[in-house]
Amino acid sequence: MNKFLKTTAAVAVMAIASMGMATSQSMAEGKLSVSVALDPGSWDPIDTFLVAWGAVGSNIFDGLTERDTNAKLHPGLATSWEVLDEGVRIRFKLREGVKFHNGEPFNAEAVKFTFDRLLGEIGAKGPQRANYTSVESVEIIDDYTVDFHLTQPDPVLLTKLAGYGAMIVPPKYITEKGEDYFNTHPVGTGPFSFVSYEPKVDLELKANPDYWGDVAKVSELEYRFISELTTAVAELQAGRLDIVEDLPISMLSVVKDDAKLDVVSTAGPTVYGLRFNTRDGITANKDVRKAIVMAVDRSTIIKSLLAGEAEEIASFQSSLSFGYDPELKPLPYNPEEAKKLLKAAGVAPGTEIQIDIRAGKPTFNEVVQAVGAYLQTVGLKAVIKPYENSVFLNDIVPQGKTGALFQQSWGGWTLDYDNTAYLLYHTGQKWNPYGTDAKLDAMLEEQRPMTDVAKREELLKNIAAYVADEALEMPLYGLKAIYGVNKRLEGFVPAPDNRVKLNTVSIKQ
Amino acid sequence: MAGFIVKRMLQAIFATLIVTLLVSYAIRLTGDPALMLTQGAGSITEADLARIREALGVNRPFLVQYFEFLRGMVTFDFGKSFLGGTSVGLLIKGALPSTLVLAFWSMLVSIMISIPLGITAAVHRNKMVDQVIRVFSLVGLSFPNFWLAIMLVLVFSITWNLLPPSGMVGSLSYIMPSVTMGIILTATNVRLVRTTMLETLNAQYIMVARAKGLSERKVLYKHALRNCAIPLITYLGLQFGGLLGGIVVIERVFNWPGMGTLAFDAVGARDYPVLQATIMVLSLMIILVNLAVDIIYGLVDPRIRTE
Amino acid sequence: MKESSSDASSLIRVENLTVAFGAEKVVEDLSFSVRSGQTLAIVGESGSGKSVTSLSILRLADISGAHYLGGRILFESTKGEQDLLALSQQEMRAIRGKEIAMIFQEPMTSLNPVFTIGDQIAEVLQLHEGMARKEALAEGVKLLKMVRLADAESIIGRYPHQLSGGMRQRVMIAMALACRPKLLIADEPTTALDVTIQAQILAILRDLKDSLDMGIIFITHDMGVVAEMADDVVVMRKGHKVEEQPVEAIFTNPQHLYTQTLLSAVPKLGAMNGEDFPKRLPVSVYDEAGAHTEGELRVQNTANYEAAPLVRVEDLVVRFNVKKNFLGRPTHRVHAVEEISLDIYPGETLALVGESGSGKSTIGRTIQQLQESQAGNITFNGKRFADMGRGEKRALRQKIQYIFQDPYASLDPRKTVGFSIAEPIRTHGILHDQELIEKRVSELLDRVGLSASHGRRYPHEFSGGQRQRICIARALASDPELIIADEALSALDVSVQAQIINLFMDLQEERGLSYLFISHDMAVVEQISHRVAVLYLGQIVEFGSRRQVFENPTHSYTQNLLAAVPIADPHQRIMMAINEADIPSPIRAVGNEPARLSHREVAPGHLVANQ
Repeated sequence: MNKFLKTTAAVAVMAIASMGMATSQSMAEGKLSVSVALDPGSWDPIDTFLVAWGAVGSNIFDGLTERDTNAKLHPGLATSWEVLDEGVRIRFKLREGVKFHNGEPFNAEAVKFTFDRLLGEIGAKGPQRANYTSVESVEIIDDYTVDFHLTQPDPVLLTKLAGYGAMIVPPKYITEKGEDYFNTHPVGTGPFSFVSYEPKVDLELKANPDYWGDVAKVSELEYRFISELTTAVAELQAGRLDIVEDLPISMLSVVKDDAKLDVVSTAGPTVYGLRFNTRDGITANKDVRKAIVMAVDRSTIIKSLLAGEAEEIASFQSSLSFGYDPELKPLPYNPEEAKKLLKAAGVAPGTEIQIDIRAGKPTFNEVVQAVGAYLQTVGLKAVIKPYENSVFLNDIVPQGKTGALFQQSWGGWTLDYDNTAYLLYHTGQKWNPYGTDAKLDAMLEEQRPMTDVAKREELLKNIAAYVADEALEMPLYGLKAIYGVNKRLEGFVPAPDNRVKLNTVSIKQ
Repeated sequence: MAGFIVKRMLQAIFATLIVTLLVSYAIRLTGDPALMLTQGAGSITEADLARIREALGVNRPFLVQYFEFLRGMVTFDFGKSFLGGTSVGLLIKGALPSTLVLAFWSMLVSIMISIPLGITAAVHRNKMVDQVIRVFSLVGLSFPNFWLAIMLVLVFSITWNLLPPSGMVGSLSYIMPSVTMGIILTATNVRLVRTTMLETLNAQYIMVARAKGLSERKVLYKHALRNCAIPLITYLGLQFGGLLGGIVVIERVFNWPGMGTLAFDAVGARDYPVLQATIMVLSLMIILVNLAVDIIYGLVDPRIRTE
Repeated sequence: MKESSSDASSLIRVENLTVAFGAEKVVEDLSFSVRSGQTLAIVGESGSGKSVTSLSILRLADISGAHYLGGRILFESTKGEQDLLALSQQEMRAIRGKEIAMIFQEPMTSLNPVFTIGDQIAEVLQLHEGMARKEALAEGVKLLKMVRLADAESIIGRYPHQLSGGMRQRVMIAMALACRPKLLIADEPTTALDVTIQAQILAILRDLKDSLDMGIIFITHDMGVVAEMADDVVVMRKGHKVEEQPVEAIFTNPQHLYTQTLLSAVPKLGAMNGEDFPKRLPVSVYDEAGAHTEGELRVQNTANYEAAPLVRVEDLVVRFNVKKNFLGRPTHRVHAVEEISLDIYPGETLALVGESGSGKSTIGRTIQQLQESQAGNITFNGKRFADMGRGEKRALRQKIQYIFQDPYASLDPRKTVGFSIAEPIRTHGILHDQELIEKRVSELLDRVGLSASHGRRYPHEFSGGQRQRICIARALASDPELIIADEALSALDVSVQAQIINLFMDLQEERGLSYLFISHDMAVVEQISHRVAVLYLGQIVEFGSRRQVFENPTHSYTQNLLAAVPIADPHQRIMMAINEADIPSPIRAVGNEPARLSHREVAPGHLVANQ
């Protein structure tokens, strides 16, 4: 036993000594470590929709357009653009003097190659193409001018060009090295260039000194794949990670209590709510739906259950979304009014009301528990029924087999209300199992081909107001994008969509 | 012996087929990989999904897919991951050694702790020391393994900053995962060593060994332990399956780049090829270990060897 | 009585030794001494403290939790006289195996199964004599030759499981004698062995004692062995020495009542000469009240040979596969029973005698349907097993009851004995009413000499003899016609054994029971049985009435077997030429069938195999 203790002590001493060395090494020379929840397996932009890819890819690749952290579009590899021919042709002027990491020049050829690949055979195997089907072809006008020919006007296309699939890739490199090699050895025009990739472990990048924008302030950038957030937070606390994305609400206090760490958040694209079954039962009655919405004190839920890291919403979109109307206010919390409405609608006290949710989401589960408690106070008996994820997404919602309320969460990455509203409210859509509203359908169809941005925005606002008035859902909150960050970082700007650009970040010495 | 091994191998292949068939079928019930891959997409149409399903090959009947997987197995071509198209063989080649190394160290830690403790408990049966060890192992049994892991991380990584909280980065990173896993195994192993030791200590030949004038150490660690080895090896062999199961959890907590992490991510992404291959390799490992146990038996127990 | 402590030439002197486990004194105020070249037998029944005494000398008793409350154990070691009780365990280790060695009762479990014989012998020599391994192994071969193991060079490399019990006990002796100890303690060294092997081992010990000039402490419960081996005898009862005398005096002139009753309870081979029938004998019992005699003498003429046989066994063959090749085909078989035919008549006790591997238990197990047969017929009450339906076979399990050697193992430790006895009544649906069942259980307990209140207790609360009574009560519960008693008396002390024999005979008288009595103990068989079948390697070598077989043993095997039985009379030591051969194994390669014995009838009903 004594021997055992001695050995233990010896190991501990060794551990202290070598750890000291290891820590100092990882901090030196401006190396930034960031956790990513999942290894996308391929760094080819067209292979994935994973946010994990977005977080990393945005620092390797650039698109023609770029979206800042306020979701405003800016020139990227294109310096300017013009919408022509009633929206079916867009002409881009390209940035000159830009080089890929391998030295290959960026030009119209590269843009055409990128989109031919995306829309051709290679793209057909991946999921990204779905977003760009409105592009018919790309025409080279001169070395730094291209025309995009569209099959129909696509008002969201410019936003989509900032998305993953439209990242510009090096034609010569891919042609020479092959697709498989490109998957694991990505080359783009972004602020960081590829160094090494070990599947399921990490991806190492280094600063690109020739970057066309702000050259990175750190020399090295490492992404480590850590699927368990608890583990990632432990790494953050141990000082071996600088940034952890998507911090869960339950871990906020841990990070906040750590003197070395900060919680940084910003409005995110993900919104949560409960959708009504507008076809059957008591919720077929609009007044009942309004009563249910009014019965729930959403701002208290945000404050107490979500630590304030969420914003109240009136329609199913975040404040960043195109079509967001700051004037549209959510229905107020008013249990007395709710009771009156319920009584008027003839809903007997103690009526059961079923809420279907996806299992295994602890935070949302808590929120729904609270909703249930509020409903209790107006005399409704909430029964919460959690379903396994795929059952919920395949068999319950699209088949219209839900209870009176069911979970609705949406992470519209395009931040355009159309992308949410059309899929949620248009008759016959997968996520709209109950609604058949001709007026709403007409509005949704009308805005789609519009190229007049202001007019389309107006129409989207009208749609949101109409949906709110019909009380098709109980909008609960828009969750902020929450990051845990080491205080030694300077210049960290949280991104709503995980796509944090790290070239502006530096390390305090 | 040769015949026995051939027979066991055939059984093993059959068992592996059944396991992979079940797993392959079951995972296909839990969701559509095309849906998973397009989760972050804005607008996705049925046509897009169909296109992706075709690209992945999951639109074909289940048995066709399964037989293709089997054909791949024979040629050691496990196909490509749905996530990024990485070669599954490559992924497993990277992950399997990590898991096996962790399993090895966990076993070792557990053996190093449980044998002296178990023997001490047996020798001091029903005395204070024995009670303490038994309580310790009971506490160990009731630990949820991730909880223990988190506690260790809190103490050794966050409070004292001695050990890396996760990852496979240098020899120090092995300590916490193998100790966690080792302690969990130890809980049952201590009891097992104690019980088998008690039984062995009652044997006449132990008294004979003492009557020869051998030191207590020799009596316990030579005469008794060697006899305990037979039931212990059986149990450790059986435990290997459970060990791999436990490692899946431990790997996730410690972000260990092994088969568990691979399988976990694969389930999440409905990455059939990776999941099928990991399960197959893991079940093969379990079967191989048990086969090895049967052979080791013979080496340890002359009653079998000299048959 | 001799005053042992005054003996100056003694090798070891135990003086006023008191040993306790917890509060219970298991040895009290014990004194005796042993000289070089002397064999002292310590005799006693279970609980007499004889084994604790031997373990105390080696100081192994305290490892198992014993405390020495008083006394000294003075040993004349190479360092001069030492009080072993005053030595540390460390110091004792230099004496154990070197100056004092011990042989234990169970040769099957005394050797460590995972080490070779050579390793286990060499270990002692390496430890105490500082020999190198190679040298020690060479010495090991010499030692094995010394205990007359032929083929010592090959045995040295073998593992214990490859040796028979007799060979293992010889290895144990070789190992004990490796360092030429001054004192050898032999704790029931032959109890687990067959009689012919016992005779070999005893002869070896006797010879080696003389050639090595050792003192021997020989612990046994068997008065026959005492008569065979001892120079002097200490009789112990419940931790006390009750008597100490030279061996002749103990047998001719026992002083203590306990010694007298002990001697009277020992069945003596040849005591029944001239009797046609088995006899129920009165039993002397020694208890706190003193010695008294129980029961009467009665001739047991219960067998009804006029009636049809209750059981008829015809050409029975039972074989087990023991080794298989890799195709799963058997390569070797145990030929446990080879074409055996016998009858059991109502009211008859048929004894099966023979040594290990003779197939005697297999016959019993086959009749009880615990074992499948390969050929032959068994008929019960005129009906062949083969023609019986499932229900009839079940009913047969009620009519035939089995009593095992180890009563403790055959009782459920978590059930009251009353429950265990009632179990066959319930399973066979003999009685349904709970009250009637309880009444029946009380009657049964009363009948086997226990009281009704015992039914509420658990098996561990009873002594070995009481447990065997419980097993008998359970067997009687289903109202059987045949009881198979498989070594049912072997684990019992002689005084208890005599009482159980009488119980068996009383029950036979009352109920007309038939017994199939399986035993290796010739003296008991002589007393209890009507007819005897002597078995050797699965075949009958001699079959006849008790008187025919015991008074006129005709087959050489029967003769050897009888000659090897130690007689409880120091004047009748076995002087037979010791057969060095081991008992042959009934395992044979497939295709190598044993030759079938043919028999001749030397007298009416007396069959003897031709040789």
